[in-house]
Amino acid sequence: MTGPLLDHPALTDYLSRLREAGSSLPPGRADDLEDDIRRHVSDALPGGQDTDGAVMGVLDRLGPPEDIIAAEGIAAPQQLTAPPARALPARDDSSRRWGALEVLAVTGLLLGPFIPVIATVTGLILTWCSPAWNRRDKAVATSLVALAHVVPLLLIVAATATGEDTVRAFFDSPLQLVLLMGVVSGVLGSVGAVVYLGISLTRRHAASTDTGSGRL
Amino acid sequence: MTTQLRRGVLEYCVLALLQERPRYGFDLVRQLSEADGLLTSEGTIYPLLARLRREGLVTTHWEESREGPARRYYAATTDGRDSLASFVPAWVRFRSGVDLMLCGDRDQVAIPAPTPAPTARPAT
Repeated sequence: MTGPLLDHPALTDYLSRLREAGSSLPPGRADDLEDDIRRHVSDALPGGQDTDGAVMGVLDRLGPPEDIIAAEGIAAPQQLTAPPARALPARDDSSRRWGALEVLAVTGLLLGPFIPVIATVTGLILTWCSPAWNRRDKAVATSLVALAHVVPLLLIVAATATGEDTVRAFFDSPLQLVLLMGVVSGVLGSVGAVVYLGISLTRRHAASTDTGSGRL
Repeated sequence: MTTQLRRGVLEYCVLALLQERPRYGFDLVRQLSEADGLLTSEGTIYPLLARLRREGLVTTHWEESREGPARRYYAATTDGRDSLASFVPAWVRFRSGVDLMLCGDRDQVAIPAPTPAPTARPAT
């Protein structure tokens, strides 16, 4: 489409601004839009009224090219921008409650004092693999279990430092002390971690249920 | 605020005009401009028409013009007519509800009950 009217400097400038503003439009769409505007101007000025005033009046009523491009975005944002990436499922799935993974995790933690190392490590790995707990829950549980192993060692060191006699006053051998304190501390730590994880899971599940019921 | 309101109803005004008969862009603009404030920037009609076409609510075809270059004509599709038919009773209820709130005489104004969607008029 060409002609004296459509070569008017004001229209050329207008279309140039339109093309610049629409540089992010899908291929072909900018051409269509420019063609629409050219035909619009042609229809608005029958008989080729190419006086500056007439052309400027038509362009003024068309509105700023930037507004037209903005309307493209409003009309079909899904056509102009890449679709939003689907959100990855959150690692802490608050709608999840007790599943096989969670039961195995707490079982491993509870058996930790009686099957040293293997059960504890397995329980912790399963806990960290579960989406039912968030990172904070897992960190707290891990800390409780770790403390249960560190505390008896510290106590033994402290008792030993106070003198061999102190230990022998209560136990036949230091090994007996180590085993007893290890089991007691391990049980306390594991039970504490399991109780914490259980409460956390129950509370968060209840919270997610409340939130969900409020949705329209 | 009026921009949001205008944006929401403009496409149905376009569909109503296209339901009467196929029209080209400038013809639509001329008709819409008769309603004060409905179309502030005439150029924004073209992105709207492009969207309606992508959504299958209007179709297009070319017709020669004695006055200038060929024109792209738009016509409402069956889906476009159905969409308009669904909108009309909803709009009547909405408009009445707003009038009720804004005009104050709540004892006199009654919100009409929902009515069946009017039958779409065939294109001429």
